[in-house]
Amino acid sequence: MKKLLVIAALFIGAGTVSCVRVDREASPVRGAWARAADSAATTAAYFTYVNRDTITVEITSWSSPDAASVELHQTMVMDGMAHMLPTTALPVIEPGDSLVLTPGAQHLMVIGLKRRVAAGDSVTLVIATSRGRSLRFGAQVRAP
Amino acid sequence: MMSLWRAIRILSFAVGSTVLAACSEKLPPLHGVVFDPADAAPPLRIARVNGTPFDLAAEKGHVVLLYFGYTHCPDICPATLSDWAKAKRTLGKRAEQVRFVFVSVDPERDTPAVSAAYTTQFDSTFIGLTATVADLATLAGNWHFAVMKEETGTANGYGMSHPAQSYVIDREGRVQMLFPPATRADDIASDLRHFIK
Repeated sequence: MKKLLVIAALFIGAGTVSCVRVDREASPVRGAWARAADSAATTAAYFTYVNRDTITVEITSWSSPDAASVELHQTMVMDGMAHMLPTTALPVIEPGDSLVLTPGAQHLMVIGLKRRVAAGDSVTLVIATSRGRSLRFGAQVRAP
Repeated sequence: MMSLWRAIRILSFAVGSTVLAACSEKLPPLHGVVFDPADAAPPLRIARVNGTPFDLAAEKGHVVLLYFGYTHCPDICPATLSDWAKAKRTLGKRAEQVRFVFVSVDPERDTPAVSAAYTTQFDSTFIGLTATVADLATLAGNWHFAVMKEETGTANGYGMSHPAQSYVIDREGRVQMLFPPATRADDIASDLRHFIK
């Protein structure tokens, strides 16, 4: 019986090795939140990724099962004018450093929401890192 | 006149959101950037969603907080309006003396109805307007900024460049102050108290 349980656990584990659901204690992701928005609209999501590892980490992709696509963008203010441009370079986070996504700076554009998200809801985000694993976490939705 | 505006605007963003002492003898140190002397606000007359005009010149007696943005902007525009909403709550009943006005510079996607619906997500009293294609160049010229469509090749379509700051128009219809982006809501409320009764 014990052997069966171990085999079953291995099967279940084998199906989930590529995607780690973030547990709060060990999570490198902190303070994830997104702004409330209507279905089909675009919202922004923010979080901090803390690299507590001893090697450099690169964020290689981002996505959301709740949206058509996700892009990393940067808001820039030049001569009093605001511009928003996609970030083409992949974020590289040195050991001990953090990637901070915050309003008015770098943020994830969550494009084409599949449902309306209101304050108290959660938007699921998935980021892949150069460590070969994905992190799946919820961004708490706040009132716009 | 235009070069003065530009110089002050550049200065305002060089100091960022740090506290700048007011130049005016009448005003205490404020968080926003104060114009001294304050010039009369340029004209701004745009049809509301119900067809009636919003005319800035007719708003004398009210303080007007004005922002030019667009509804497909998911970052700095909602962040600004969210801070306005918090500031309004902080002001309580005194906020009735303030008009909070968002003007979309993206007439291609933002119909008057879209802008009106967008702003009421933040507060039901916020006024959402859209400059028409025909009026946009004149409006931008009057307010001394250049609107540009920026093709970014993203799934969200194009972006629009727009002023990053909020304008404070006093009860006499003068542009008294700018709030740089990311000015804290409490600081906005605190500064607005100096312009309302």
